[in-house]
This record gives sequence, structure tokens and C-alpha cells, in this order.
Amino acid sequence: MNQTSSHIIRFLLLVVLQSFIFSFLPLFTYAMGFVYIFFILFMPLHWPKYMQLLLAFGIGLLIDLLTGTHGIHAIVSPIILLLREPLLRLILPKYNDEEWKNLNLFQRDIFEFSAYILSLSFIFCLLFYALNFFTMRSILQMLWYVLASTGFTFILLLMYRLIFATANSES
Amino acid sequence: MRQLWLFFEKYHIAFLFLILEIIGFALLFSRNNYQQAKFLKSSSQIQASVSEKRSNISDFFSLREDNFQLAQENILLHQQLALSKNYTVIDSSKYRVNDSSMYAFTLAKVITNQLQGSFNTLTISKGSKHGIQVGDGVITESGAIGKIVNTSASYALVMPLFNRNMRLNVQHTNSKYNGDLVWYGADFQTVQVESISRNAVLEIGDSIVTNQFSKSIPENTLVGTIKSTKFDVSGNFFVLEITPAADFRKLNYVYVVKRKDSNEIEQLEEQGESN
Repeated sequence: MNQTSSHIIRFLLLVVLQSFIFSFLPLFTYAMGFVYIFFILFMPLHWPKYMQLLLAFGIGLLIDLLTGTHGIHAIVSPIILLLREPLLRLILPKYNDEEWKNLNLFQRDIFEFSAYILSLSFIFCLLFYALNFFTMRSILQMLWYVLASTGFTFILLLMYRLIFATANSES
Repeated sequence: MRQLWLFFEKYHIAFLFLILEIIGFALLFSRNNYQQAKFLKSSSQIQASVSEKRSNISDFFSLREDNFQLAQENILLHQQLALSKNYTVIDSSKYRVNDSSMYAFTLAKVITNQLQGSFNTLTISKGSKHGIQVGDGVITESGAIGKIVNTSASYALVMPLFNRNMRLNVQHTNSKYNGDLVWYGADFQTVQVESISRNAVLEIGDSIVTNQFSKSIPENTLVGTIKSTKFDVSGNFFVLEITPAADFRKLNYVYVVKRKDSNEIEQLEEQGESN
């Protein structure tokens, strides 16, 4: 299977998982799993930046249309896409440009991997619920949603990595 | 010109990002429960039919509880029927409530029930071809749920109490003072009632019901019970925290209530004063 088709399959699989299962299955009322951000976090770094942006926006918009969230995912996805590179440069050791472009994010060790996805899923959940509630009342309540969802998303992404690690190791 | 072009080239990612965010925010702020964007409609049809299948499966696991609830409601209905004088027995198995009854009820199944943000909606599996109209009320056996805000052929969208656009005329049962039900957001266990006069004598646990001004939901339908009371900023009115009577987490079947003369009332109100 070539790389393009494996990316397309991953895109479709994540959209289906997100919009038909996880968006409607909050765990313990507070925790929502946002599995689809996996696609955004693990887009190859050598893809042109504008394509990455458009894809992130596209997947967000698709989730919006399918789950009726009115543009919230489409707003947050490009933001975390832009945040991921500066964050990666913070977490990972220094590389030159050539090495950087061919970096395989999938094969980082578990600490780097966890730090990366945990911080970005926290930012994602924070922005998502801030836009969703759009009120300064009951910040505490919102914080519960953010923390619970961050935890749940983190666990789901770890599981996704474990399940698909072998399948994607060559990409 | 060349300078301009270079400028665009240098910052093209930032520009693209800005454009995408503007589209996103435009979508977010154009959301309106009454006139959902056309292109959203087809996708919500797909979403509705998928959700219906999913809820068919999950219903199976709550059969026992549903049975119990229905049996209890049956008992209640039988008691009311026995007390009421305006029913006619057509044959031994069918009772018919007198035609003078003001409301018509339709049973509908809740197929999506997402309580997540500030502008929540429920989708139910009955629509305009079953006679459901925008403005009809939605209740369960335990209390008020909300009102219909949009319909398609076979589905309808309900604005529940937990929606920041929700307004409902309510009344405190013991004192008969009227107030407005609203929701401040974020907390899915309580709704608020504003503008009940400070002269009212309220106690924790008192019931709040709909009053005669609420056109959608029948008068005297239980909405909830008082959890706590305080005064608003002016000090002239109460702000009550209310625990809704219906359990929104476990909604399965709801009744859509249609006031039979609602069209007539609407027409009259549209005409306004005659000269």
C-alpha cells in the first residue's frame, strides 16, 4: 500500500470514528474523545504548509457538518496545526532542516510522544470548550470538561498508536 | 506591485490561516436554530438517520427501565381517567378522551441527545409529515423538555431547557407568581428562573410549573423544583436555581404536544387590532 492511500484511509477512518461514535459517546458525562486530531498531529512534516493547513481545516469542517457543531472544529483544527511545529521544536532535540523534514513522529520514544499529544490535546480541549460554552460563568465546570476530555483523548490517541504502530511504521 | 507580491508570498500561510479562521467564525456566528443554513440540512439528515440506527441498538439495553416507567404512567393515566368525567367508552379496550380536549399528543423517539455546549438541541424521529410544527411543546411523563424549533419531513429539532436561547413562562405553584425560565449555561443539572417578585414566599423544594402564557407547553406542566433562591442585582426579583423534573440524560421517548387552536391564535395575533 502506498503512502497516499494509507493517509486517505486514515483520514476517512478518523472522520467516521469521530463523527459517528466518539462525538456521541461522552464518557462519565464530561469526557469527550477527540480521536480525529491524530490526523492533524501526525501529518508528515515534509508536506507543504498550505496543504497541511487546508487539510486540518477540511477535516474540522467535515466533523462540524457531520456532528452539527457549527464551525468549532474548523476553527480549532488550523490553530493546533500551527502550534504543533513550535511545540515539537521545544520537545524534540535539535535537527537540521533536512532531518527535520523527514522526521517520523510515529517512532519517537513514548515520553516525547506523550508530551507532544498530551499538550496539544489539552490546548485543543481548552479552545474547543471555550468556544463551545462561550461564557465566563462557571469556569470550574468548563475546566472539568477540559481536563476529562484531555485525559480521554490522550488515552485514545495512545491506543490508536499502539494498534496502528506497525501498520504505519514504514510511512 | 512586485513588492506586494513578495509580501503575500512571504506571509501566505498567515493569510491562509486568517481566511480559514474567518470562515470558521462566520459559521459559528451564523448558527441559528430557526434558520439552519441550507447546506447543513442535508448533512443533518444523514446524521439523523445514522443516529437513529445507533439509538435503536442502545435502546435495547434500557428496555427494563422503560417498561417500568410505562407501567407507572399507565397506572397514573388510569387513575386520571377514572376521576375525569369527560371520557366516553367506545368499546371495552378503547377510551376516547373528549374531543373538547385542547391538546393533541404525538409520541416521538429521541435519536440524538447531545448536551455539550450552550446551544444544545435534541433530534426526534417525528417530523412535519406527522403534523409536527415549529412552536409545539415537548414533554415527558415527568416534566417539560422544550419546544420544537425546526422540522424536516420525518425529523424535528427540539430546543431543550438547556439552551441559552430558551425562554419559558413559568409559575410558582404555591404563590402563583409568574417568572421567566432561562439557562445561564454550562451546568446541566440546573436551570434558572428570573423575575419572580420578591413578595413571593418561596421554599426549597417547591414546584415550578408552566403558566397559561406558555403557548407551546400545556398549563400546569411540571418544570422542576426549587434548589436555591437569591435576589438579583436590583433586589426586587428572585433568581431561582431549579432542578428540572425530567431526567435529560435518560431521554428516550417524548410527547410532542400540539395546541389544537394554535393556528387560530397565531392568525389573530398576526392580524393585530382591527380598526
